[in-house]
Amino acid sequence: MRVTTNLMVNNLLHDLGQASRRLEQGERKIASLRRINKPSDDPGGAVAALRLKNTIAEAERYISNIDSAETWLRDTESCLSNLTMLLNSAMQNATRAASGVLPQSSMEAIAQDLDQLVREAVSLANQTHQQRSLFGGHSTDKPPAEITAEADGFVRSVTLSQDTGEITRHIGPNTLMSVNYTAESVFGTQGQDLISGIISLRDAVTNQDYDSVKQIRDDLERHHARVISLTTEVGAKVNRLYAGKERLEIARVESMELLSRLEDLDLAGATVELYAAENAYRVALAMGARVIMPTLMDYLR
Amino acid sequence: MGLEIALRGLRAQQQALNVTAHNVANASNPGYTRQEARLEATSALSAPGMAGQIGTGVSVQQVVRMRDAFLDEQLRNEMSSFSRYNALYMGLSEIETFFSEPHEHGLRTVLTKFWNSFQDVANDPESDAFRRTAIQSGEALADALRHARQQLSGLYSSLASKITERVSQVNQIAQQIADLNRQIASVAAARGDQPNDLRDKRDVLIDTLSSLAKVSVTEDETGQVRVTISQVALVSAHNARQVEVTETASGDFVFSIAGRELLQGADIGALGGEMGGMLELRRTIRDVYIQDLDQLASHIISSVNAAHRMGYGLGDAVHVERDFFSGTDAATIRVSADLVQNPSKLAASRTGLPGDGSGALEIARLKELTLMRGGTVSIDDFMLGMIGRLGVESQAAMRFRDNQTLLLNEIKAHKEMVQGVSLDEEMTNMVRFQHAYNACARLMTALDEMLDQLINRTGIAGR
Repeated sequence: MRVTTNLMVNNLLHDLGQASRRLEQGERKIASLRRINKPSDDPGGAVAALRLKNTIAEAERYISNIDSAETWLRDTESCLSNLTMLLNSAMQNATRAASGVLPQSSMEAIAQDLDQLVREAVSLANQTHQQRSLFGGHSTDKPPAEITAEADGFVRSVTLSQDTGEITRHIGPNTLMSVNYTAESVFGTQGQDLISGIISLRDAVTNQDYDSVKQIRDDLERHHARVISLTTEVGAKVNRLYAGKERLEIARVESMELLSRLEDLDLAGATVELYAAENAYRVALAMGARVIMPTLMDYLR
Repeated sequence: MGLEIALRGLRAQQQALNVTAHNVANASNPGYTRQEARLEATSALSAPGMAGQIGTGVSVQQVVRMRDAFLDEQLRNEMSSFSRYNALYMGLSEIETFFSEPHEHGLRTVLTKFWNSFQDVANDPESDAFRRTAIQSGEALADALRHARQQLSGLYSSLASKITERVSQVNQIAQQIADLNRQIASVAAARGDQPNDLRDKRDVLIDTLSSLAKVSVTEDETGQVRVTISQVALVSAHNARQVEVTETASGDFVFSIAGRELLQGADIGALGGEMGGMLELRRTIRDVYIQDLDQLASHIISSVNAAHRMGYGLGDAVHVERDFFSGTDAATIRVSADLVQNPSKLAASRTGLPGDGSGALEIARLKELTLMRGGTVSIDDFMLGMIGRLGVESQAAMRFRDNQTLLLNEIKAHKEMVQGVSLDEEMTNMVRFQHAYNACARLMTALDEMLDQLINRTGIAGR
């Protein structure tokens, strides 16, 4: 083999180039702490990483939707339990009034009390969640229960919103959950609703119509049972949200782990590689300096 | 007689030293081919009555170029595929930067933010702030798509001007090769000499030409080369022809020489060299990346608009069909100006009531639908597929290029071994020729002394 001056110089340059490229690549990896900096570094890995990032972003999104659903349902739940207590005290009042042994003054006091309960029920119906009516269907800007007539300091009638609009939250892939209850589903159909029930109870108490009092008390009992079962349903929904959230959290953490395994640099390995590359570069430089220096001319007279 | 032999010796050594000097002077010239003076004994005389023939000395018969035509051909072939894949890789890796994936500022992030902003509106349909955010993220998405599209189109058109520039370079080189052909032929014919340095010049030009396009070269007996590109002659003897470029309706370039088209067909890159690579890259940009991006954008526009049209803006008493995006493809996509001015008209509701976010949710859930590529792929997956394809193509081009680099280095080393100047060798030759020259000179002195003896000191008796 004929070794020429240019051949040696070219080889040296090529070797130096290779060594410095490895050094540069190692440096770039460590500086970015990433294994994949552009799709061509590892096309399969890059797409898998992007997919995982999508999964993580989706999970985070669903978790935030679940949080939003949960606060809504929590407010609904507390409303419903207040409503249960309200019905309890209305029924107690009915029981006391139905005994028929109370003096006129006590009956009037009970009637007053019941009117207060009516107003309380109206305010429960108009509860809001972040300034949005809980039970107003899609008309979240309007109070769903309205006192339409008042006389002698008593509430005469209340109308309930007929809006049955459903409010849903996207809580998982292809999974929607309806989070709102309409006024009629909570309080009963307009006319046979529990508010008008309490109003007629109050009137029956005022009129000392004991039979009606008993009958209305039974109606309220049925409303009570319905509200309790609604409360249970809300509780079950919240539990379902918890379970979903748990699942999503696990998926999110697992995806993040996978992503980090896919994308992140093995720092120890990369550092060792960088040192090796640096050594190789130094050796190439030192060898090169020795190889291209001497020529025959150094030894000719 | 002897004096003449010594003189011939002196001349020959001097000439050989000249060649050595020429080699040393060109030691670092990459296109230079080492030359060698071929010494040969001049024809001997037959003298009757004497044993054997009488030698008449030496002369330089020829100065040869130490070159291997086979290596040249190999180098040129590999050079044109290297340049092809290099051009392709450079372009594809530039496209990779356009999408800036898998980083946090890529198209994917913008798209995710867009979907998320509609989820926010769906959860909070009464809020003006979330509508504004959704419109902003729509604009961010439109910006990202338009930007990527603009960069792709920019690269596409810059390739066109690069290609025409390369074509004129090819034409120039063709002319130069034809000129050199004429000079070489005339030198060879007139004096029977080897025009080594002219040949070196021509070889450098052919090497450059092969990095632009794949050429094949044949040499005739007069020393002139015929250069062809895909079987059509570009240079023959001292005639150079011009490569002409025309653009087809689909935007491809067609090359022709004197009316004959060069290599048209599926494998547009088969033209080889940088031009082949750029043609291939250009077609890929147009038929794959720009098309995919446009398809992505127009699908986003049409599906978001279709869902948006069915909804009501905040406070709309009657249903008004409004588009969310205007434009038809990645180059023209924008959030419609109407919405930018009135964010409350974002159609989050399907009933016109403020608490209804089902319209916004419908738009956010478009990401779950697999409607692209004939109903098999979702918008997100379509985009990922695009990025994946880019990665694979870019990596493949890089591998080809790296392989070609290795091959090329190997061949270059081989060529260098044959044609390169070794300074040690030249120094050795220098010493050798110098000694031979000195010896010839000494011979001349000896002969001179002999003649002096014969003429001036012999036969003094007669004086």
